[in-house]
Amino acid sequence: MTMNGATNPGRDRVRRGPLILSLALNLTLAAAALAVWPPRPPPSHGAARATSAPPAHIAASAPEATDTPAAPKTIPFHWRMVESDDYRQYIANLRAIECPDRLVRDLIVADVEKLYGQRGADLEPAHIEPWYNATRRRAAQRVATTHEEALHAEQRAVIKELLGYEWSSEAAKVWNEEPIAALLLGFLSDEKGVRVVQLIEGVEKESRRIRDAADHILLDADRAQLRQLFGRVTGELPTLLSLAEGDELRRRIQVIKFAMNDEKFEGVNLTGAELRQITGLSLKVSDVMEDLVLRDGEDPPEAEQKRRQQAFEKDLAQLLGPARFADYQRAQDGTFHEAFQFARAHDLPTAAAVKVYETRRSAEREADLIASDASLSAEQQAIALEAIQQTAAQTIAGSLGAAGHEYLTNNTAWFQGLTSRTNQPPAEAGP
Amino acid sequence: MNCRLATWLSVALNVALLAAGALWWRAHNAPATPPAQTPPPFTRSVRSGPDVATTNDPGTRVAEFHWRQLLAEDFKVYRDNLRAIGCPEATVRDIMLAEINDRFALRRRAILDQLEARFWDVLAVQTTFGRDNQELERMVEPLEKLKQERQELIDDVLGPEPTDQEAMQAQRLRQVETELAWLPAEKRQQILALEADFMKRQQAVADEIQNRADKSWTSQDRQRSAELTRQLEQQRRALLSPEEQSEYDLRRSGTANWAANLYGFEPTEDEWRTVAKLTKEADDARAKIRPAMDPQMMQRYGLAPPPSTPDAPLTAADRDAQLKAIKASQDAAMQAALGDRFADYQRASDGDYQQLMRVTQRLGLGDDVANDVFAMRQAALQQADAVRGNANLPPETQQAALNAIRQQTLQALQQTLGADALPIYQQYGGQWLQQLNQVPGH
Repeated sequence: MTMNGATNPGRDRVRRGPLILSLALNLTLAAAALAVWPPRPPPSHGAARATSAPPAHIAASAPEATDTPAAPKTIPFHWRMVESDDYRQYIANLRAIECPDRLVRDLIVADVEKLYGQRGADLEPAHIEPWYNATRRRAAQRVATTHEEALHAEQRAVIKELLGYEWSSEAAKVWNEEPIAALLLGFLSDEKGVRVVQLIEGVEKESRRIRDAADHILLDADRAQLRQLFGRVTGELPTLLSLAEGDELRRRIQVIKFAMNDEKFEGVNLTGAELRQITGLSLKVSDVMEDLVLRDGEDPPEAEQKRRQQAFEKDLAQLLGPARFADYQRAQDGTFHEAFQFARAHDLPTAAAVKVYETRRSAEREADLIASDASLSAEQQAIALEAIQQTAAQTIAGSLGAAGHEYLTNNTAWFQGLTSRTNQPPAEAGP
Repeated sequence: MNCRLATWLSVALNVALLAAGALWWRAHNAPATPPAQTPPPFTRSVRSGPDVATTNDPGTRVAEFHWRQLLAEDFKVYRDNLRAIGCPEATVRDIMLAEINDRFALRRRAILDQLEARFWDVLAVQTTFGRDNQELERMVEPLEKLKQERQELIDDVLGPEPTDQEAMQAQRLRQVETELAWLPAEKRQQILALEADFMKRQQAVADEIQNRADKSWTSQDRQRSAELTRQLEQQRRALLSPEEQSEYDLRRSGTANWAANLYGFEPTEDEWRTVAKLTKEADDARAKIRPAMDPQMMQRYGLAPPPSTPDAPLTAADRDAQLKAIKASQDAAMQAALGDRFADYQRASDGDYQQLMRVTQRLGLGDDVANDVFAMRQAALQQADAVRGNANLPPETQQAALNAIRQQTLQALQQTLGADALPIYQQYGGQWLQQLNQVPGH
């Protein structure tokens, strides 16, 4: 525009040029901004760190039906749609497609264990040169072990955080594949069974770790740690099991001692109910579960051990009655154990072992009496002892039948011992 | 609007748009943070399945899906359904194992419930009849059978459990790399390449055997495998200089770890090499000594070759003498090599000293304390031996003298170790103290 109001098209174009250019740039930049600006996600996608949203959401976020005649194309479901690099999202995605909880648990546990297994394999191994002595090797190994343990602890924590409880495929495998474990814990539900295996194994591992870290030289602090660990077991069990289940578990762990014959009841006639009661009584002497954790711990003083054993035997005598308590006392004798095992090996009844044992004891008593009888000459003693030996041999051979000869051969030294126990000096040779 | 004002507004808008663009650019093109070495907890490593076209195309929708669509009575159908939706094979395996366990859990529970009723009675029989009794084994037979059936089903549905050969080989190579850290990097890499190739070829042999019906190794297979090992050794020898080969052999020899159990003696690298070589020489010399035989026994069985035969068995005395000579020669060579440190080496090789060092280290006591205690031990044992060897002393006098030595030793040990540490030493390494005052024959 000119001063007089007349327009000058040429000058106007020149003056508007920058404006036009700038507006053009405005449009270009605005268009570019629109192109790159992300569309606002629907609320259901908002917080997901997932590589993909849950399938339920995917289905829900499909375009709503419009007037457009063309029906939307349906794409099939793909596993990738539940995958996520975040475990929590992965679990949510699995639940969204109604994957059963037990499967979610097993999938997550297997996945986490593989992940940590890989991370464990990637750990730097302990650097040990061949000239390192024991001290340096232990130090290097300790560093490596510490890393492994930290990783393992993290794995357990992650699983616990994700599931709300501890679970390991190792414990599930023991439960599924070890019949003896299943038998011992068969009174528990499958889930409780696995969790008890998990608890016991975990505590056993931790107990081993404490011992290894102490180089198996336990100081008071290590023992305190082990006692604390045992406290963890006794503290956690009531949260897993009912009172009755907890009591049954203690008895069944205790019965291992009996089944392995650490407690000797050979030849004692017991009912199942009595054995169950006895396992409870035996807790007074020693606690297998406690030993499992505190192994290598200090034994109680001898006097205390004796006091406990006496208390146990007093209760046992009351439970079994005099005759069977006598059988129990007999079972503690090595001679009976040997005779019992011999009889078992030859398919002979317990009565045969009892007969052998009683014959031997009786022969020993008689032989001792003869040997200490100063009124008898050496010759008389020798004759009497030989008679005892012969009678014992005949009785034993008769009790064992065809196996008698083998028993006599195996125990030659004992039979010879019967005739060589004279207190008299040997008779002098006659002139 | 004034044209000038409009221009300024437009320019301002451009600046704002450019600034916003710059911010956007920075947000989307910022240099990626290097991945943390340890991923934070809850971060998964997504298993890759077969590729699939997923789409954000608004014109498409994902079919509604529920887990029950996968279920099938037949595990193979169930497995195939999982595969059909692109489930990775490792996940298929995890799911199928969980489902098979679940299926068997019901049957196992039924067996367990039956066994439960007899549990204590069977255990009572086991307790009464002893450890060798088969009652428990018979009891778990149905569980064993079920376990076998379950395994057969797993094998049928999923095949044998795949071993991650790649991961195992990678681990083995890392181990080899650590063992060869002493070699120049270039040679190390060359040997690693040889090892990797060797593993691949060994794996090919193993795979071939695995694919056969009987899956068993033939003598030809063993020959092929041995040939691969021989080739690897040959190729390695060709790569290494004689010195490197000698070092390689030494590090892999049985004597390489001679320092592994020593406490209180830390060899230098050179000392390690010298002692390892001397030990190896002595071991080789010992291996060459012929066995000893009782001459009378040999005669009785007609075994004695003529005495002039070079491979005639030695008498026990001759053999002992030869062994002693080798030991003396080895000790002399070691003394020359280690100088003043030879005595320390000998002490460190003593099992009792090693145990003592473990105890003192555990208690946080210095090596000097261990050395003092060990010296006290040696002195006390010598004194006690002298008393026991003195035939002129009656047993009561011997006993009194030994009691006194033990008492003095305990006092000295308590002073050196401290009152708290002495019982720990007695428990974990001081058993000799219990025997110190024992008179022979008592």
